[in-house]
Amino acid sequence: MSPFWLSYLPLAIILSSLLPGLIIFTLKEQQVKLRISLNLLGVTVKLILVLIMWQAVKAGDIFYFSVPFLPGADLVLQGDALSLLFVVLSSVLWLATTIYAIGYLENSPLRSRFFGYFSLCVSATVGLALSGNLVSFLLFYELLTLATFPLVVHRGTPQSLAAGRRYLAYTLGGGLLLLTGVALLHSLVQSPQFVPGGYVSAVVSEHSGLLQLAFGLMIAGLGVKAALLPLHGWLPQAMVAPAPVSALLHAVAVVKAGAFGIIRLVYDVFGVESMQLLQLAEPLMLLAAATILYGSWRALAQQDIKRRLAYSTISQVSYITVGVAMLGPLAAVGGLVHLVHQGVMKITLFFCAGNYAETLGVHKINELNGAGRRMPLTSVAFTLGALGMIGIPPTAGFISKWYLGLGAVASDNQLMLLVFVFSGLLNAAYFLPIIYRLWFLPQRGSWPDEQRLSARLETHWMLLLPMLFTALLIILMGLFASTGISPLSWAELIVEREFSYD
Amino acid sequence: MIDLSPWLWPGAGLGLVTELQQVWWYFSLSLWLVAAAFSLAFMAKAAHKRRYWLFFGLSFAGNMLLIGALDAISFYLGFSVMSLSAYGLVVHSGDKTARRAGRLYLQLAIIGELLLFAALILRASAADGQYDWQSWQQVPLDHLTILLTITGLGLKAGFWPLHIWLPQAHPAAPAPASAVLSGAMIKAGVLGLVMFLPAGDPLLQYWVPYMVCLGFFSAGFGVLASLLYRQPKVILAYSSVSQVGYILILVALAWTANAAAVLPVLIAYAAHHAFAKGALFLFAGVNAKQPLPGYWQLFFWLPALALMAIPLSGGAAIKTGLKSLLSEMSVPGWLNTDILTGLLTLGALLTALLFLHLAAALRQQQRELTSRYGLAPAPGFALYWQGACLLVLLLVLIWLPWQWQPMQQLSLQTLAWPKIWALSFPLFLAVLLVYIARWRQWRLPATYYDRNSAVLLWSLWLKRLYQPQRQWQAPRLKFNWRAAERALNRLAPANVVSSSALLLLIMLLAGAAFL
Amino acid sequence: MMILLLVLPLLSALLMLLWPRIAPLLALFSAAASSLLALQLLLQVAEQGTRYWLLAGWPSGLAIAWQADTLSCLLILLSTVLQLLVGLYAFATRSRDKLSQGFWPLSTLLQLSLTALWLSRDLFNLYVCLELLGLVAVALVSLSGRKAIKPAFNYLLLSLFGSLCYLLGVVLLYGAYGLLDIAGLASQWQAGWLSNSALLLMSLGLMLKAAIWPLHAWLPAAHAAAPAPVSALLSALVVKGPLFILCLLWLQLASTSQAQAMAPLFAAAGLAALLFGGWSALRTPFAKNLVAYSTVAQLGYATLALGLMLTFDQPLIFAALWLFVLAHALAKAACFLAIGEMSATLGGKRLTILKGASQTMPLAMFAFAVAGGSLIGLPPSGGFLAKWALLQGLWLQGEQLFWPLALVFATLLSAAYVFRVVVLAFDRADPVAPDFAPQLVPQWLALLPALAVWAMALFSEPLLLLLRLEAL
Repeated sequence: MSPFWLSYLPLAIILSSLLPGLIIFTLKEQQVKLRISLNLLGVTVKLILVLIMWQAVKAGDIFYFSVPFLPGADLVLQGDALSLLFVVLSSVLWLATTIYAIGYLENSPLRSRFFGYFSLCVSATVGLALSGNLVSFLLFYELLTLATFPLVVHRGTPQSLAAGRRYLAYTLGGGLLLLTGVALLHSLVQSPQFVPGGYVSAVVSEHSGLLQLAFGLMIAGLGVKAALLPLHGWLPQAMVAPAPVSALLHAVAVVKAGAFGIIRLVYDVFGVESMQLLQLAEPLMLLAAATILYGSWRALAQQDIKRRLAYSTISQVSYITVGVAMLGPLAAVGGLVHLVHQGVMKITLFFCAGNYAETLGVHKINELNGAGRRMPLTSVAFTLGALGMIGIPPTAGFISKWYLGLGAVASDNQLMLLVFVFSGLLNAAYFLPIIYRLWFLPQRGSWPDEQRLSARLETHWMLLLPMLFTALLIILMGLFASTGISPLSWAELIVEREFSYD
Repeated sequence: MIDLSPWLWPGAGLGLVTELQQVWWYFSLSLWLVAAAFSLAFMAKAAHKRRYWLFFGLSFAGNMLLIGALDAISFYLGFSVMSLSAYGLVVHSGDKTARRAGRLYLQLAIIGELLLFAALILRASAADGQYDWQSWQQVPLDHLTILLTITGLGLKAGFWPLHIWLPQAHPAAPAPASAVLSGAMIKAGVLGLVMFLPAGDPLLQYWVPYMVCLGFFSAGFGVLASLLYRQPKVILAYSSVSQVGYILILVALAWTANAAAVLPVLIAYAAHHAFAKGALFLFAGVNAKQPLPGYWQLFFWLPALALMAIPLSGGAAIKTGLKSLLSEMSVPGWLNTDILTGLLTLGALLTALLFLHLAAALRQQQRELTSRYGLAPAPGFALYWQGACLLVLLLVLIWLPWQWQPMQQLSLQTLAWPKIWALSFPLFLAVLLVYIARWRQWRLPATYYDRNSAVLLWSLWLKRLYQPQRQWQAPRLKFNWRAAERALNRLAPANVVSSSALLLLIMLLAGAAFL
Repeated sequence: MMILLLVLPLLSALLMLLWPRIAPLLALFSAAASSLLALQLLLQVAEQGTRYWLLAGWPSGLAIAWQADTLSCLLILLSTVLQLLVGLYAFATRSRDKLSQGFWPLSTLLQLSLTALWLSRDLFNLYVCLELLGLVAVALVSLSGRKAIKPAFNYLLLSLFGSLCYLLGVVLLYGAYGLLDIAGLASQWQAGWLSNSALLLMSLGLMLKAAIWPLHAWLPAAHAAAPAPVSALLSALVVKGPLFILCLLWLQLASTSQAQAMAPLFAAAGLAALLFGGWSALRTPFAKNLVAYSTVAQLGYATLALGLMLTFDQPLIFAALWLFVLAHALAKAACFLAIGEMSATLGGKRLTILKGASQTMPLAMFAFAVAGGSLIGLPPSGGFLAKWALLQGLWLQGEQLFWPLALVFATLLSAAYVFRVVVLAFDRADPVAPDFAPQLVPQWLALLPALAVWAMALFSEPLLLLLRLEAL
């Protein structure tokens, strides 16, 4: 491997989805085969590139690519362990979602546009993961907003337009706050590369007030996408989008972008020591804990499947934030691994919700009675995802909750343990009734809008395959957590690198 | 022993390394197998058979896994699989009582699960990231962990006051399921209590006397409560509450430094109760279904008498062991060992009362069946098969006290006359009491019998709480500002030129003042 | 080279009058040639520093003095390039829009007056350019025909009034100092009631012409009434002329105390413009009015930056001011062309005609959205660059909270009106069918400046450096 092209690897990873996306925009609606092959080509290339990078980063390499942009803040792409966590997650789930979306949108209008923006969205997510300093992060953060907006309003109905408006109002506002915060921080310490341990420690004593302000602004900005408590309102509304979009939005791209940003901010910009000196972690942790409980509580009353899942996302994403804000290595492992686990679990749930909607026309929870008989595979996947969300072993959700719990005790935050337990109860309270309906109640009348999408299977195979794949992942990641290729071991690697910077 | 730590988590492993685990595993396994064989005939015509077998298999697997676990996480894994899939068994019939019972069961199972989770976290943190039983033995406890563990596992074990799901769930489940629920699954909680809390821990010693008292109370409460019900399976469930009380006493004793002496008795008690209670539940299932030939009474009286600790039975051996352990126990000043042993005798009386009551209830059931269907038809293959399953359990029950090493000693001790007398007089007393009660027509007013438990209301309230129809919504401000906007628009000058010029002049003057 | 930049449009305008049939070609040729020249001049100036040139060899003070620094060169390049683009657009749509023949010479004259304005550093000279600019602009507005007469007339009157005020100020200064050269005046400047009132008069006149709040009332009507290419030119370039002079006056002429006294007023006017313009854009039912009000709002940024610059004397803010101007010019041209194209094709001037435009005219809508992104200040666009510079400048002043938050709010408003259009365009429920098949070339021409404003980000570092040096 020559170092020359290796330095372009981060760029290539972004381009591998960006270029197909741009080409897809120009395609005609009828060029289905070409579009699908372009999409799959992009996915494959991206996965191969990511694999190469993964191997190298595991061995200790760091990738670096920069273009001059602002004075004191180049546009930097950087492939380190943390960014790779997110890159791998989004690439793999992009594969799943692409296949799902091809099946889901079969014969629906405006597919070129949809897949174009879809690829853009993934490019922005990957770029965000790979960005090496705050300014580049900001750039991709905004691009992500713009790329997802057309997906949210894809249906073009008044409802989805209203949701889109709300989505924009929140995310653009958040982006602006982030911009203000980044600018403030830039004026204090410039915007160097992300580095374990952060880079603000030099000015902590001098500008503590301004640093706190900058942190607050940036958290407010990131909190919009991560759906922290007062800023979560867009997420349930954005549910009107087609199922692959909500899957992507909720599981990977948007909410995780916020959470990932918070991780970067805490560990690689401020650093644990400065966070402690500035007393920033505690409020963030409490806010996230409040979000966990609030999201779960609101989810209880939702009668729409996707809305319930949305509130569940609000709650679950804050686990990541809590894990990060507890500032301990174990909690960090929990938070980081939850980033992956929650993504996989939530995307499974959304795939299932999409399957019910597409095959049976079911959108409400009380229409789900007896669906387990009609769609056993989907219901099994849903059950797995839901159990994972509650944190029942041996699912992936248990592993992350376990580490979060250990971290809470290790960092002397017993209160958080209580929060986890209580939230687990609430999770059970809003997921188990669904499972009960699926398996134990008899079907009530005929389905609202049933379609035979396959002769032998319960629905189209393209809708089934990605869902089963992610459902399998939930179990595998939970069972084989200690193996070298599990997200857990990767999270441990990251934490080891983040906490040993001295 | 299978070491799984390179694949799963540090310390992960499966194996039967201690005697506790071995015996526990074997008796649970046999009970499960017998129950499975019984189900083949019993559930042959039931609806949703596949679902039944799925959940049966899952909870079977979970139960076996948790016993064979060498680390806490594997235990927890098995425990969750077992608890959650047992829900499927409880609600199997799908009628209203089953659904209500299932709801309560699941609510409490989840709560217990999460309490146990918290306890595990605390414990694992204290053990510095080690999860295997071995390393946990050396780690000191704290009160919060003890409390969480006892509540979390106690919700499964079902002693008072954590028993509330038991009298609801056991009657609702199909008979073989109740047999394993009562025989094997609630024992999982007991096993956990022994495994999680290392014997001899100084803090734990504070808890021992209280737990002993709790055990006694539970033993008494179970019986007294059962007398108010006339459904055989409810009575059996309360009997489990009562028996778990004794087991709890043994568990508490096993927490002391004297563990080595207590464990065999505990194991024996658990195994004995598992087989006897399993047989009784199976019998109650058959009894409720069809009129039975007279010799079937044997299938009831043998396990019942064993549980009543009639001399020569396993129950007698265990009770004797328990008594001697109690009298050797070191107790704080407010407790007296004599009172405790006295209470044991009272307990034997009560147990006997319970089973006599049960026998009456079962007979009543038979009478009703006969009046509805006529006399017992010629037994078919299914009935023979079920009888054979029961017989296997009974044989084990008879064989157990005399051939099995730990119980043999105890059994031999009961053969002395004073012991035999001490064991049998509560039974005579009980029979006497029952006759007197019949003769004098001692009864409570009818409203006291067969009452719906208040916990069902509580469970419903909880359900309403977590499935709210509506929630607080952020108030949406309705302010019609369009009118205000129109008014403002009207204020805009029509003549742009003059108004702009005027404005400019005004600004000129104002600016001059400003500069 | 400077003289060529002036002579070329003049000559071509004259030729067009003589030979109207090749007017479009001539105009395009002159714009293209001027663009090349401007680029060369910019490179030259960036390399060798500011260049001066005295007309006809008269000594300084008497002669008409020209000065080409990097800012002027950038602005010249911008105006010529936009001229070229808009010319191409007008040429591409000539058969459809029936634009009057008068457009070509007038637009070339506009280019001439603008180039002269950017190069002049002499108050009277500036006045002449300003007057010419105003007249040409009014004439251009009136090209729309009868419906534009009233706005054009209003514009004419106010433009004349503004020029008059400005002239009055110039006369006062000339009477007192006997000088019109800005550098010369600055060296003898004394704060006093006379210079005060002269400054005030000139500023207010300029503000009226630059449509700075609250003297903006004429702008929406005039810009909305003009044909699409004209509105693009007006919004992108014409209003920037008086603004340029305003900056010259206050940054180079006014004494520190005067500047400090006026600074809050400018900042307040800027903020008010941002809020008022943004709100009006959000509420107006007409597509072009939305864009016009957006101009009012965006000029607020420039005014705000001027006010802050006078307060803090921070070179970054100065850079931000001109970055705003550059980014806004490109973006606004794209907006007007895109909106013009869409309303021509979809038929109607209400905003609701844009329903479903993302399907029917994706390219034009994309152009609008991209340009709108820069108006909002999304990275990595020119608008972002400007906002970044402004924020940096503000934060470097220490504990400033009010202005950054005000900026955030204003930006939100601009996002609101931009996405008001975009959301409409995604309405698939009942899209408006186009009157005829959408043409591709004009849509691409509308997209070009929008892409250019995002490409500004690529040159952000040199741009910031160039503009920052200018202030020192």
